[in-house]
Amino acid sequence: MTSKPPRTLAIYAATGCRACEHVLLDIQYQIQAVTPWSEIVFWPYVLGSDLAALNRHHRIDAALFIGAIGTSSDRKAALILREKAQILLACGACAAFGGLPGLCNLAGKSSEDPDAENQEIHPDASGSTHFLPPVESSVSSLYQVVHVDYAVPGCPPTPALLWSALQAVICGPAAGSRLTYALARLPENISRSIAAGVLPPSGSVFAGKKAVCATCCRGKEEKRFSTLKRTHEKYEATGRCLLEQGLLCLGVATREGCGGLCTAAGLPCRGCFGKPEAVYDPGAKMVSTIGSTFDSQQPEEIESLADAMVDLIGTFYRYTFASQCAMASKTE
Amino acid sequence: MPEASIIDSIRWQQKPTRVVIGGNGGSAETLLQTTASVSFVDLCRGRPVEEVPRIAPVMGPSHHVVAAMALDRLFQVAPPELATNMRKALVQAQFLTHHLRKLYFLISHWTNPLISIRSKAREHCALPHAFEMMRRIMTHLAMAQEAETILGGRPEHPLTAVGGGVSRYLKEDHHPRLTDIAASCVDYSTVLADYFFTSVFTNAGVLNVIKGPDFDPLSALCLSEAENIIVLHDAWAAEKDRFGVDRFPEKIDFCHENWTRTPFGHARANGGSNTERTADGQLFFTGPLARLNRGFPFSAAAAEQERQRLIATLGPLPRHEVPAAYWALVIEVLQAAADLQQFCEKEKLTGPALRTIPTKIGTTGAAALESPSGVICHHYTVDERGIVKEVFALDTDAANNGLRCRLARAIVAKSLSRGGDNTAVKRNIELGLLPF
Repeated sequence: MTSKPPRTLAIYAATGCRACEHVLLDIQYQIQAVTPWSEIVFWPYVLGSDLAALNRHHRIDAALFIGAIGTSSDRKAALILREKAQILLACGACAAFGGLPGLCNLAGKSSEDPDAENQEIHPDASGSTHFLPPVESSVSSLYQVVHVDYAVPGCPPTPALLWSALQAVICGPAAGSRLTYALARLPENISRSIAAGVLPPSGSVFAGKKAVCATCCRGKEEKRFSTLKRTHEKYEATGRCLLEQGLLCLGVATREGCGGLCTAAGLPCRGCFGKPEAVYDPGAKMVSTIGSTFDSQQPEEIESLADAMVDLIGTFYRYTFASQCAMASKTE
Repeated sequence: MPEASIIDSIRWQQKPTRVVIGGNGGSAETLLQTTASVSFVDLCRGRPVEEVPRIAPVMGPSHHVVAAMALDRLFQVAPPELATNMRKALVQAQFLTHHLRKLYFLISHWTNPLISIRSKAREHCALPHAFEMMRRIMTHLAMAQEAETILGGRPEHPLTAVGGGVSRYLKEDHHPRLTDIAASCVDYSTVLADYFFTSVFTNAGVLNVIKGPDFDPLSALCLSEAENIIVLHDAWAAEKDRFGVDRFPEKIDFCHENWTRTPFGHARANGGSNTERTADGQLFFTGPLARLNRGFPFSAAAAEQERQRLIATLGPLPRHEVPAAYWALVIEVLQAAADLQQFCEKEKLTGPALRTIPTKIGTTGAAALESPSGVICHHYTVDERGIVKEVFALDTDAANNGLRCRLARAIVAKSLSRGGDNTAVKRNIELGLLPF
């Protein structure tokens, strides 16, 4: 264990669910190893900390930002944490890309927020006022608001990846098990950094570099398919590639790191790790992939294929709409 | 007018929550605010309906299962027995995870939840053997999560339940592991129950901390023994209404107040209603205490024995007090462990088919499930291509919002009358809301 004072860690959850925080708690449950190196000084969900408590800290060593920017409070927290924290991590798909909440940008004004346009001050019957943080005009990722040092993608991130990120930024060379994680399927520059006990290059993503297909357990026999099926319409008790089976799987346009978790469970990848470095636009990559592997030259068949593809935005940009299609969501 | 006092953030809540105490410090103006929320309706509308089970866990892991059940009905298919058992076993593992996490949070109130157990194990704690119990809860929570991973793909956002069944078979080595996990959870649950009985529920010092005020009796929403039938009980456990889940949008409505982002689920009155106060008479709650208050015996002997111990200690059901809600969690841990053991028998999780492929899509599909935190319902309306047009979903945040707000008001009133500062008020609210 390090003899240095523990590094301070802040954890904030913005708009989203509690899954990422529960993964963090799981690390605590299962390993009980974060706390020897870090003092968690701010975590509303578990410690009940409020934002004002952050002002008591001149500097925080690292901050994990979970969730998307959906309200003015989220934006304020992002700005404060950026100012205070030496290292800011976007934790989970919501913080990294906007995640599922980003899909609400497609819907415009929330149907469950009837007063969404005028929420700053609400007078009640007695005339007193109660502030509710205003909802932003569109959901954003953390990257769209402040500079982010590292990201741990996934919905939620796997405990192993999150643990490797924490070891890299919090534990440093003191972490006895760092070599184990250096051998994991992380990009070489990150693995080497963890092994050496130094910070990985700024901007690193704690996940693989290639596409999910690189780690998918399914066999690729022949990259052709002749029909497109929706997930409820087809089940094949083989280990064949889901795209070859005609199921719209985003593995080819998604960063590896999960180990092909969904595809191993017989379900197509939906892209919660974001796009790999070599891909510019996951939607365009999918269109290109489908176009090049669909086994037909007949206009009628191609037309029926196009008809079978429904909700392309919600499928191709399930977790990345807010950031990948930021221009579209701002203008709509 | 004096400024309002804001207590931020309330720990352990599913969504970011704070309490605003009105300018005059009176409890009548106490508001329990949810400050951020994701609209499940907006996430689902326009999506292919078969994708909803993968989106639904944003509201909690059990929504994954109920979404798949709603798809079964939309697609008009019956899942094979293997799939039904896998889903049921998954829900029981979710019960264990959910309840153990809450009990862990409760014990951690007397400690620091983030300290290293090894280094602090010998420190004094007001709650006897708290660190050892936290360690054992952690161990079994991790086991329950492993069971969730085996059955559902992962604990937090499970993915194996699909319309018509499940997406994959279990591997051969999963069966003995599930058996081991279930047996360990059964053994531990009795230890846990005894610990809570002696160290919490009959320990005057500890009980005084969690006791809080009794809350005004509320109606309770539960699932009937028959599948997909919802029963509304009055505050004294008498049946008020019973309806099929298909009629859920006719029977249940949501009030949206402008001071919180969680709506108030309530029974629909004639002519409807649109504020918390006008819906007051139709508010209900759901969850472990609501299930306990029905007065039905539990099928697991240990759970039933614990229920009798509660009645002997607290008095006859129904109960409307916070310790009873915690006790209900313990009873359900006993029941869930026994049920997990029952569903994890190898012959129940093996079979020739794991899903039924649908050949048509209906126009509406609905299902309800007793999740760890209470009844949850999903009702979808789709177009001819199976694209979601309308979604009605009852989650337990909305279902229990009325109770939680009432309880927060009562706790603030009681705490302020005793001269408590904001720290004490906050602690009391957190402990009061945790079991719901």
